[in-house]
Amino acid sequence: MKDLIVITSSIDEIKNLDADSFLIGNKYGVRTNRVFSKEETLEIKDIVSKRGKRLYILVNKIFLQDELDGLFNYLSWLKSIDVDGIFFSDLGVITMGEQLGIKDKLVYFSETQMVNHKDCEFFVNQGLKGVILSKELPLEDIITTSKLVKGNLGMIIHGYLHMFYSKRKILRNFFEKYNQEYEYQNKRTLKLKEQKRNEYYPIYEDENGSYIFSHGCMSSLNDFKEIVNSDLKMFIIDSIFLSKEHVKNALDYYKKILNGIDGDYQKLIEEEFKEVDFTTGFLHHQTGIYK
Amino acid sequence: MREKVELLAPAGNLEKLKIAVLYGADAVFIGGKKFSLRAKASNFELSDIKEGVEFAHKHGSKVYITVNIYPRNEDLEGLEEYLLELDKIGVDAIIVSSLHIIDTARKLGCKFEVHVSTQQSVANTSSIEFFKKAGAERIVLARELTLDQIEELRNNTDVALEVFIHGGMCAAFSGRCVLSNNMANRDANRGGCAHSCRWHYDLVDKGEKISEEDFLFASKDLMSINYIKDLIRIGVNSLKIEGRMKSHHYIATVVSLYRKLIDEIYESDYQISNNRLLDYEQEMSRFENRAMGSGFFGGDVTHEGQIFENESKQPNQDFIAFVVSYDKENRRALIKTRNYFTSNIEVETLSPGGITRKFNLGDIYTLEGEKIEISNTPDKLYYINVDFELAEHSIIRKLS
Ligand code: SF4
Repeated sequence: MKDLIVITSSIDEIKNLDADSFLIGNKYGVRTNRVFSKEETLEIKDIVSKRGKRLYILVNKIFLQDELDGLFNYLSWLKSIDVDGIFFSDLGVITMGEQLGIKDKLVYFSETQMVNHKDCEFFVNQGLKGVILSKELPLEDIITTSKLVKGNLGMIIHGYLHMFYSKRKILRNFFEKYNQEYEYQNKRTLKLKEQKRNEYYPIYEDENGSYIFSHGCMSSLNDFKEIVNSDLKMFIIDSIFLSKEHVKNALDYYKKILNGIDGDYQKLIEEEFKEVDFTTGFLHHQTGIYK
Repeated sequence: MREKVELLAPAGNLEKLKIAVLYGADAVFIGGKKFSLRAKASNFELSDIKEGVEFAHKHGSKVYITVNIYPRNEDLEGLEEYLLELDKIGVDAIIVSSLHIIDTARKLGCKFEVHVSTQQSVANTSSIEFFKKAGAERIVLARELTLDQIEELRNNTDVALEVFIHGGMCAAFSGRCVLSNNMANRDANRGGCAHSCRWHYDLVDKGEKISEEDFLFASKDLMSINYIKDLIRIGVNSLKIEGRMKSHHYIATVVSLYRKLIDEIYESDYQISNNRLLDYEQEMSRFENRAMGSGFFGGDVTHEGQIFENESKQPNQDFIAFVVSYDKENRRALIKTRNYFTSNIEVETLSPGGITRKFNLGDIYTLEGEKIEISNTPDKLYYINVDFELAEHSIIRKLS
């Protein structure tokens, strides 16, 4: 079964959007707009269950030793409330998943390292629920890989792509270097412009470090028909930096394609959101191999 | 008793491998022509790897091969054959990021060790356990850890731990950056990084430029003279110098400096004085022309750990030549040139074993015996007269 997933920070969206699943943040996840508490997560779980949808939790930090006990307790709690999936990046989560008997809930979401069918197969064979392919793969590789791996694979289909994750506080350091007040902690309005390129990369920083995203919003609307016809099963829309309207309409269009209703949805979305620069990410973008 | 800590050095070709070993590296890591992040720039055919391994083993050192790309589908072919070849040659370990490659090596029953690359950013024991179960013997830890965090890991695992002590650092978590893929079409996780983190940016808020100064966020190179004692005390197994693209001179000086420091720490039973550490730092600053920082060892990296000024691209010019051979009968050395120098200047040699001696260069002679005053072309062979025996691979540098 195909699974349309929205990474969201809004309870409103969880109540109203017609996605199959919602992927939400918490204190063990990074790069979402909101950290949901346990109480909120319970509330969301309730909403999602009543709507017949699924709840996935994003636990994608790289963990330090002193976070392990808390993480273990949190994962046990997720088990006890029976969430439908846990998206992780640190491989230590597999060790804990094994101890807790929840490996079949785990989805490997490293974002940069799942680039061939053999590595995907390795993780599928660990008994995980699924593996999300890396965002830097071209469409051709995505399709071939999905055919070669017997398991639940997914990809990001829409949104600003996360390109850089650092423990360094590069924004704070910049302001401190020039003795200026730093007022941008956790703010989502800053962009970097490389001086020779006319491109703007969203950047922000929180207590876990700094993050840089792609110029423009990746959209696979033009390629989604082909993607849906491959053996991929999970499709993620990342709502970070997108307006509520944008998420809603995009979801709607992807859903239509899934249901076999053709249309020039890319054109539509470009007309609706003229302020957004749309790209196709790495789908048609073969990156050079070596230096 | 705990084994002595290993000093691990990089080498970009066979010559540099020999230099690293002779100048005191306990182990050397090199990349072959396949499955390595620097594959394109590699000078190591399997036959060179074999020769390198034989040379290193003869001198009591080990050789590790980086097999550290995250391969794409099209890169996977030939992996098994390559691993079996490496095993046959008798390499001591491979350094790997991809779980498929670890798994393949173990399933093939290769005798070499598997070391998990820093690309995996391992920072906790649950993650270490995962790799141990997958068949790894050693973890190269994430470069984002403080000394205390490294100690905590050491106290909670029996897996061998390796820590970076010197060289270039990614601004991002290793393996977690695709800036270069995005901006320059070059794949960072297959060795193509275009160093987009070193470019100049403007910081813009809601469409308006808010920074007068250029926004820069590259990391300073790592230099850890002040932390070696603690890393040894903690029980880290291996200390790694980075830089397979570095010069002959760089390898010789950095390796020999850390070699001396490590030995002095053991000999002094960890009582090495702050003044001595300062000496080492000064020595390092003589030839390290890039800005250096101490990474995360002491805590979060502040702006002092980043590069904000345009780095001087001026390479160190002090290294003028290295010794090819010494003719005892005629008391003269055959040298191969590097940077510009003139005759009769004051110089210093650094020889394998870390021995330094100062002398006046005297006259310079061509192979035909003609006296010259200036050398301004690299890779020329000349004779100089030297009273004492100079070991092969000694380096000669100007005293400023
Ligand atoms: S751009 Fe900088 S941070 Fe990113 S991979 Fe390259 S060196 Fe590392």
